[in-house]
Amino acid sequence: MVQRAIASRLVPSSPQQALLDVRGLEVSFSGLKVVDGLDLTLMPGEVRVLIGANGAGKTTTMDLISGKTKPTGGTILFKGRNITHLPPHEIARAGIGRKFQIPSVFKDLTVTENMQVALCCSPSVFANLRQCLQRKDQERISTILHQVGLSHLSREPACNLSHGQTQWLEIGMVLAQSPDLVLLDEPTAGMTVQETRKTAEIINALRGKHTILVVEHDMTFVRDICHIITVMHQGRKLAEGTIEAIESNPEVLEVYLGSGGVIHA
Amino acid sequence: MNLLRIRRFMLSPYTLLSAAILIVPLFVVDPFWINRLGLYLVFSILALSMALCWGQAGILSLGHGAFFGLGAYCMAMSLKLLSPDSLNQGTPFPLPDFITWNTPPGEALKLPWLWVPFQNLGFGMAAALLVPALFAAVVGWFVFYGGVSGVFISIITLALVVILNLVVIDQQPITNGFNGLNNLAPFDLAGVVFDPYGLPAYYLIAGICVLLLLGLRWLGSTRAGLLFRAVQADEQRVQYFGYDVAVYKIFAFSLSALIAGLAGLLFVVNSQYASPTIMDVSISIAVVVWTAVGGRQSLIGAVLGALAINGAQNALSESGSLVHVWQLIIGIVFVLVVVFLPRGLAGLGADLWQHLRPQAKAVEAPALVAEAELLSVPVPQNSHQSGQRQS
Repeated sequence: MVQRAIASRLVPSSPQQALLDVRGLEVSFSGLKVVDGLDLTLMPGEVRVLIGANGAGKTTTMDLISGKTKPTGGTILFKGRNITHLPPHEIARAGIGRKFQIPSVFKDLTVTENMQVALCCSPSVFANLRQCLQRKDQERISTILHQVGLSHLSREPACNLSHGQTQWLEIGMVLAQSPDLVLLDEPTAGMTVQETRKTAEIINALRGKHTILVVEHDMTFVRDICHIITVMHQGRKLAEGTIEAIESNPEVLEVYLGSGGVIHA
Repeated sequence: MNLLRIRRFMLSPYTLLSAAILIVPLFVVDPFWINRLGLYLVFSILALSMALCWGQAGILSLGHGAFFGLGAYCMAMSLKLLSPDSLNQGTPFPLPDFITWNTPPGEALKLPWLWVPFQNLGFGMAAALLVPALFAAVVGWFVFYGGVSGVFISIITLALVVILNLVVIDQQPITNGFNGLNNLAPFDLAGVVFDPYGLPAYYLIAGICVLLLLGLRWLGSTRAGLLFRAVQADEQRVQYFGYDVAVYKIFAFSLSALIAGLAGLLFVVNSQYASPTIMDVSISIAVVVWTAVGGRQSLIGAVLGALAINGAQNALSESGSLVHVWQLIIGIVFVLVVVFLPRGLAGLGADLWQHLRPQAKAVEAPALVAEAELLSVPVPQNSHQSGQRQS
């Protein structure tokens, strides 16, 4: 019943256009199909979590959407536009921001400078031959730094940040980019319980403003941030539905959760 | 506030170095030394172009001699056609003497098409800047959009200078081969003659050097400069913020080539010749050495590195006892700097400045307080207040 209601929301023919529509996505590395005919539809404003065992193809799916890896088959439509074969910078300009699994910030730059790089109002080199940012951009940077709780560290070189702070900085940078779709690859990896809770708060504050696709293992965190989960297994979509539906899905329990108890941990 | 800014500007290393460059002729009267210092400043400009390319944009080019040489040849071609020798070849148009010598008897003397536009000095000067820049843009387009990075860029640029050197030597009928272009007219611009041993030539070179020093410093302070640093830190990551990294690299590489071409132009004004020896591998490597010794991240370092190495080279090669080993000494200095001072002389200077400046430590104090507040550790109020009272 619940699943059917969700399914009807996900049908592409619904009056609202899907923000991201992945169809039959495929990629193989030397013969091994890592992503194998994946379908994924995200509606605007949705927070979706992608789970699956190691090697299920979650990060590779993010690589394919963000242009890091070129698919060998299938299409990716973003806001109705085919972005399947665009280079990464054009996909970013189209409105997709990504936080990497291994925190990737510019270590030699200060926190504010990192944010300035991310705040890409004009990507052309000649437009950037200007000294400083406009006032509204500076205000935006301080707003976001406040949001992710790094205001007091704005002048600190990024290499001096703790692991959790680095993760938040990268989330902040992705927000500064102001993308319609945010891809977060394991945003809580290596975080303490408190840090994870704070990250969930940050993500919940973004709900509605951005569409978010998260790869995550931590089920407590998943429960905190989202309603609909997509489970991947061996490059395919195994199941999709609410947390309750997924938790009681025998197939999911079988291939991913094994004992069946892990999800309740 | 304004006074403070003015004071800081006056005392900045940039202002001090610029002032030093501009007042040197007050103390040096020997025309030979004016010329020699002018040459070192030409090399400083070449080092500045390397600091932009390598220090700011992270592209280690081992082929900057190609751009330097192209700039020099373009300028030399114009000055060659303006020389009395070329004007007195008995033809209705100016003709370089070597073309007369190379033309078989009985064949009509004619100016090769490549030389024709260079009859205009303005064209020659513009070409000295734009030919290297466009050449670099084309090479850069292939290299950076082709995804070539790291050491392979160095190898490609190294090959480039070797090829160009061979082409220039091989095309004797239009380049005069090994001998190059000499016997040039002095550079005469709008009635001012820039005698290589005179002050106008020195100030032309010194003025351009100072302007480039300040201009490149400004470039580093723009958002584009910030992006160059970001690209150096993590090239892949920058793309995911929507920047086309290749465009930024092509821009830096071409601008650097343009500045190298400008250095070539000024070299011809200063030394009055262009030959394959100034567009070869050794000058390409030398400029990397100057920049590395000075500190590639620092524009001042690049200028000082070029001045120091060339000065040392000159002193060593002219002293009788060291004439055979001076290259070895320069090599050892280079190795020592790379191993022990990775940020070069400029890095050493900056570190010394930090140690000698007493207020440097005071700046860190507020940061500590902020951190303590964050961790909700009660800041020792007494010590804080007493600290304020003392200051």
